[in-house]
Amino acid sequence: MKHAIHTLIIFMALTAGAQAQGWDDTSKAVNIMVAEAGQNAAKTKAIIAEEKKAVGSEKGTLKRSISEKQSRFNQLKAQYDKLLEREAALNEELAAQAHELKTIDGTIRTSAKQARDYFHESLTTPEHPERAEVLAQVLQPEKFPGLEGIRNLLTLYLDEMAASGSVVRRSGDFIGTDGMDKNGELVRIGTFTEAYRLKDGTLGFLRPTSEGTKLMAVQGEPGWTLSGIMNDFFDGKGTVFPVDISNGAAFARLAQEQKGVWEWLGAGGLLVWPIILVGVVAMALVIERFYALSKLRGTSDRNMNKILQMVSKGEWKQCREFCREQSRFPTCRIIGHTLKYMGNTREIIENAFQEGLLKELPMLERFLPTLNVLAAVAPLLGLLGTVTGMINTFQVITLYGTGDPRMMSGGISEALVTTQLGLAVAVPIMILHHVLERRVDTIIGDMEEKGTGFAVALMKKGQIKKREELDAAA
Amino acid sequence: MLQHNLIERMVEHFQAGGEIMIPLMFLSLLMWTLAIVKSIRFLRERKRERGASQCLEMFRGEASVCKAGLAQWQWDILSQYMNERCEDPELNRDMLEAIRMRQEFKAMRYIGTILILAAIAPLLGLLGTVTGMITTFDVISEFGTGNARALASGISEALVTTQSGLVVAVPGLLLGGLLFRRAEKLKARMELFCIGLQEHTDGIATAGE
Repeated sequence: MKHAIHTLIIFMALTAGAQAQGWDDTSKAVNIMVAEAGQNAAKTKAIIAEEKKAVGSEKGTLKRSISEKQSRFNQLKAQYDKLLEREAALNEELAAQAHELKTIDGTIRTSAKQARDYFHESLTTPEHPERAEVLAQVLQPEKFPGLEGIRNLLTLYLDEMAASGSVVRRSGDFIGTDGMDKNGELVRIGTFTEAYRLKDGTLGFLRPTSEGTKLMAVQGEPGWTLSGIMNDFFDGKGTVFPVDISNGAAFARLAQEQKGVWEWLGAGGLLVWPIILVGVVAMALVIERFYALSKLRGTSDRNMNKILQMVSKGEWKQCREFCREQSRFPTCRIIGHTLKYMGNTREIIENAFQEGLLKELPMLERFLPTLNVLAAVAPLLGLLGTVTGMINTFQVITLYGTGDPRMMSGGISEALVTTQLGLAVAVPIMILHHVLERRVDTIIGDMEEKGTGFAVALMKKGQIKKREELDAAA
Repeated sequence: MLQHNLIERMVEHFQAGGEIMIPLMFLSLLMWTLAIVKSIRFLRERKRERGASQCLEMFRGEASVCKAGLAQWQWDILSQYMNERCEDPELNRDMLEAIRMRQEFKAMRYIGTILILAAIAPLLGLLGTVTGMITTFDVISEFGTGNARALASGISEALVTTQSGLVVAVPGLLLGGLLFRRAEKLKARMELFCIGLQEHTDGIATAGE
């Protein structure tokens, strides 16, 4: 193609040259030109060949480099795949380990929280104020406590364990029952019980406050038996100490046990008052009776012997005098009364004696029937209280149901307290009434016997006249 | 071993009853002592009782022999009556009656006490019941009904005292009743004795005049 174009150009030039000059010139020029063209063509051919050769070699180089790169690429790709695989494996491993770590973290946090709750109510916390800090460190959110934190927590627990087995005496501060800060001798027994003794000798138990950082005295005092034991221990003499193994529940009852008589009576409702009234009246009557009967003695054997001696000697005046002196003995009073009718018939003397006896009887037996009635009334009132209380309870049940036993306890305690009080009042009244009755019976028996003895003595002395004699004298 | 266990169990039972058991025990001891003393006395006296004429016979003999050979009440009545007796039979009878009343009073001695103690025992038991129930309800108000152990202590107090009260009361009432009947019979015998005594002595007195 190129040749054709060249030839065409040459021909066109030839035609143009031929027009301007002659043919020879033209042919010469053409020959030259042909030669030149041939030379150029050869040159061009050579160049082309050269270039072709160069391009060929370049192509070879490039091809080689391509194949080289391709192989490298393949190599790298394989490596990449391998790395991907590795990454996946590692990720999997990481996920597994992260789960484990989370579990550990959770466990530590849970146990730290438990420790916080536990130490909150523990008696040892006021001795170790640094605990709160350690716990706060462990409990920091979004942060793994680390080995240090775990070790600290463990130390706290171990310390507490050691403390639960030790008895510690120290002096320290606490909040007293009146709410004021106090300082006194303290004794801690394990983690159960802590007790204090003030300088003035006041004893009591301690509980941690609701914040858990301080100790607070428990309401209610230990009884005197407990106080003795506790004092011995504080002085180092005793080895026994009362502890509350219920972790505070018994202390709550300590205060409750000491609820006063008033509270106890208040729990009994309105019916308590009539029962108490019955008891007070009965007690007053019993005291009056005992006082009166202690003044009137039934055992007057000695006096009686004296009287009988006087009668047998006929010393009437002295006898009357003696009876007046000994008028606190009812027997003597009756005899004194009978002496006035001396010298009459047996019937009159006997009547006089009976009269004296009847005069004495109401004085002796006064209030005894009342006491008997009171002793019978007291348990009845108690029973009435029981029924009233039960009615209250059932009213509460109809209103609120049986869900909360505390609601019912008001009526039930009313029922029980009145019954208790009624019985507690009735039993002593019954016993005392019996004693008094026996006593009065003894006195009456004694009076009757002595009276008859006296009559016999008079008879022997001839101071009782037979009816016929009296009639004769009249 | 068995005995040891028994005692231990009794002590445990006793402790379960609480404070009321102490007065209850004293009451029971007192009641049984009185009952035993009383019945021994009755039995012994019964053996030595004699008829009225026999007594008078003995009285005329050695005083100490007579005292040892007769029942206490017979000797008391006899000696007192024989010492204080006068010519008036009416008066004598009154006097004898007064003496007899004193002896009757003696015969009834302790029986009333035994009966009243037996009557008080169930009351004390009931008191223990109520106290125990109060303890129980205190526990309920404190711990709710969950704490069965604490509940049981109050309930056992309630039941053990009631049981003990009844255990004391029932034999006490039976014994008291038994002794009461015996005393009534003794009183009847006393009356008989006194009538016999008077019959005999009145005869003697008139014979002496």
